[in-house]
Amino acid sequence: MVELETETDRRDGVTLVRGLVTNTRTTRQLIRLSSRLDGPTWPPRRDGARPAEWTDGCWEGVVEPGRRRGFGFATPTEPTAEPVKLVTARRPDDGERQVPEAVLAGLEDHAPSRRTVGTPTDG
Amino acid sequence: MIVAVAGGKGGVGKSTVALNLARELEGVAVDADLSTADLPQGDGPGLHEVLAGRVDPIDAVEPVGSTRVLSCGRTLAGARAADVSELIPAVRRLERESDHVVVDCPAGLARDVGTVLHCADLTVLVTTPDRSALTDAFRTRELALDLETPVAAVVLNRSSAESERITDRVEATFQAPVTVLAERSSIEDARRVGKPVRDVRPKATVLEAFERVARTIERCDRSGIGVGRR
Repeated sequence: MVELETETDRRDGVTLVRGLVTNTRTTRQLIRLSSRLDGPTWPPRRDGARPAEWTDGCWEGVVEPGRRRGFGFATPTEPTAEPVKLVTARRPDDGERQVPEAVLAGLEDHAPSRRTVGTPTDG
Repeated sequence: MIVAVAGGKGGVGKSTVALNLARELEGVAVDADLSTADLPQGDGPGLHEVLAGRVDPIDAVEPVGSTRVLSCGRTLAGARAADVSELIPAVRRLERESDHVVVDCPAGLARDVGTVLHCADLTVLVTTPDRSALTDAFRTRELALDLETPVAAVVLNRSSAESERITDRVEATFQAPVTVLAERSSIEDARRVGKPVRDVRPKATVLEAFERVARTIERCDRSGIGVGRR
């Protein structure tokens, strides 16, 4: 699943939307988000330039498994309870896909469970 | 064809599905849950002995009602001694003898599960309708796909009328056909005596669900889905 948390702050006629997108899946995800608010989306500027994640009013970025990333934008529109929607979440086709053997090697070792250790005959 | 029955969360009914699916496919069920075995077991040698190289897998298969099972000794010493990766040659050997081998996966997402999923041609996911089981099943799906093993079917166990309404959503999310196991009494009766439902309640409606999953797997087998990927 991909989880989305947002908060908004309205000041001087501008709504600031901040959010975190969390990838709880076991694979990296290319996530695309857009504003649900009626009105223009003003992406942040870093050194006068729009960050690479922002195109056509949508945020798009890769989130590693179990990690999260922040995003934010401004808009003149009044805030709502759910200002951001998840447009898509899919595996990036960037040719970095691991071969099955590498996936297998990356998994945790298993161990006999407490159930086995405690009561080997029930179950 | 090797079919992994997986789901991530423990206690969702993987062993029940594996045993009954093996019966419907006229195959062999293998209990790969080395530390908390759930498939019915006889008195003879089990998977631990096979993995330790003491017994040929074919000789360790025992009849359970009208189906056949390679069960798993339930001892801590056995669980420690056994290495799941050594399970793969045993499963492949059984596949040569019997067209279908249905492997009951351990719970969790550790390497033991990955090893079985990697060796399998197809995965059948088992889940209950609650959120945590669905999440674990979805993670198992992602792992199976990362290991290039397609998901043939999802079994939604312990369904109520309420949860049948989520079937469409589960189907859309998992992108696999969903079969609902709603009738619990005949499954419970069969489980109590450690046999497939067909042996105990031959007219149970739940058999249609197991049949449907079996037919899906046979269809994949015929159309070459999952075959030849290793």
